[in-house]
Amino acid sequence: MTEEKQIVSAKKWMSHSFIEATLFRLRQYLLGHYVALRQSAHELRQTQLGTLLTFLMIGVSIALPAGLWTVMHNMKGLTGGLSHNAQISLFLRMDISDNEVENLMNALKSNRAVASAHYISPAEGLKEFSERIGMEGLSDSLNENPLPAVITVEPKLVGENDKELENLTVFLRNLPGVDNATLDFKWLKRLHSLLAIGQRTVYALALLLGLGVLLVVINAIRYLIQRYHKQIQIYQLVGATDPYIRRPFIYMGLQYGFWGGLLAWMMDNLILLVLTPSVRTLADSYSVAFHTPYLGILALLTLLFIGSVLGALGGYSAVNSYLRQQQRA
Amino acid sequence: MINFNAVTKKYSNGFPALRQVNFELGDGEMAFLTGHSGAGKSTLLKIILLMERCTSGQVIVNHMPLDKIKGRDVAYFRRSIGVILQDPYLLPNSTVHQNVALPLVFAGCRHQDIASRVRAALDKVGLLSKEKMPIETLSQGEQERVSIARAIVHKPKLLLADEPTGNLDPGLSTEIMHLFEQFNQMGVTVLIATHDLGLIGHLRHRILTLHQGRMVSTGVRMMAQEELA
Repeated sequence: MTEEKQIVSAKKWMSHSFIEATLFRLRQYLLGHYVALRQSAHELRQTQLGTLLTFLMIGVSIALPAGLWTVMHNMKGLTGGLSHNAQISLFLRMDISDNEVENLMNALKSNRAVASAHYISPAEGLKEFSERIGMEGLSDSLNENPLPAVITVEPKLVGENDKELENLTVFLRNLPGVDNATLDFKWLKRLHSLLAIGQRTVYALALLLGLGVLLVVINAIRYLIQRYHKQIQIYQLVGATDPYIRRPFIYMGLQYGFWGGLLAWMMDNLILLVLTPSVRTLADSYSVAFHTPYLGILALLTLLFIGSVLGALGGYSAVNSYLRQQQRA
Repeated sequence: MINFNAVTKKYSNGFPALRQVNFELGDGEMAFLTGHSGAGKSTLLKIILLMERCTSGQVIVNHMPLDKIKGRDVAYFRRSIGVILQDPYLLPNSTVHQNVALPLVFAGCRHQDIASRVRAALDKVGLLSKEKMPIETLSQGEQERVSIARAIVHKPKLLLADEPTGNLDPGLSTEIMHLFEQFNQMGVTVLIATHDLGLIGHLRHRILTLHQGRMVSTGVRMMAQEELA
């Protein structure tokens, strides 16, 4: 064999050997994780009652903010039909003519401060009113329609500047044919403010209970570490690295969080199942469309992910603190 | 192999476990570390194993200054040492094979290699027939031998033993000492801490004596008592 061929052959052997070594290392690494996962599942099965209680604690901690978030989300859905912008209702004179209405509509549409204007005739107003109060034959029983025609105006000033809106209301009130003008704004603003407060409360609660999950996992893993203290010492004595020692405890934390997340999803859906008929009745009474707000697959995956991450973090934190303490001792 | 240079170890409560200890142990040498209880034998071994760090002085093991070994590298360093303690430190719910295989598992050896090397180590300590037995079913002497098999399975250059015969009867103790001598003859450096002078009296190896934390003797025992007689 010539020298060149020998070099090529050696290079081939080296690259083959490198690939083989890399694959071996990868296989060992994955095998290590698989063994740690199996080992952690086995350890959790050993302490059934303790494990179940930890699952439940984590489940409740995750279920509470998740459930509240679902309620807030659906509240937003229910009020979603209501415009976020201010609305000015113009009550027209009882004796206004069609011609005057047309002129008024044209004037409104050409006004730069007006985004849209919608005319509701007295007949339409009465029909809507009788439907809302559940007296469909009301119009027949009345000799005369007592309601005025109304134009609902949505201003372009997107509800941020109260003074400007009030000035616009005064301007519209003084238009020919308009008897009165009201600004339907503050109650909507209050409602959205309340919803925003509710949402922030949910976030704060989620943060606190997330911390709670972390502490529950840390506590549970610390207890397990105490149980396996001697085993850890043996491992360290014969050359186990810190990541090797950490791994099963991280997987234990991950499993606590995972099953806790699953329990949270089940608990929330159970609560929603119980609450749905009452909420549906309430929504029906306001003629608001209501869809059952069960937590679906995406919510399940999110809860499993959040639970697992918090659990793994708790496991890591507990075992790391133990190893640091040992190094200091 | 081991070099202690003015090593002092004070515990956090101020107790000086070692004071200005100097000694050297060459490659392939075997020595006994003796002294009364509390003389500092275990502390000295713990320092070599990096279970403790010395307060001052320098320790070099296998040409490596121990103060240069960072926390994350301690595990890799320990893989080059075989350790036997008085309490055998075995996993009670595992088999003999699983216990002996631990250093090889941590070193990332192949499954087939682990099996053959564990069997070879168990053969050396005479426990091959008990490979599949759970640890709890073994006698104390057998557990000690499992611990020795675990210490030699990864072919370390240095073997440390802390009172390895502390719980054993004289017959078994002599048997264990002969095992250490066999490993030493294969080129392994061996350091055994013991206070059993009767046991080591007839063995022809260096005796390092500690007294209240000071190395009072690092003499070479030239001949066994029987040979002198």
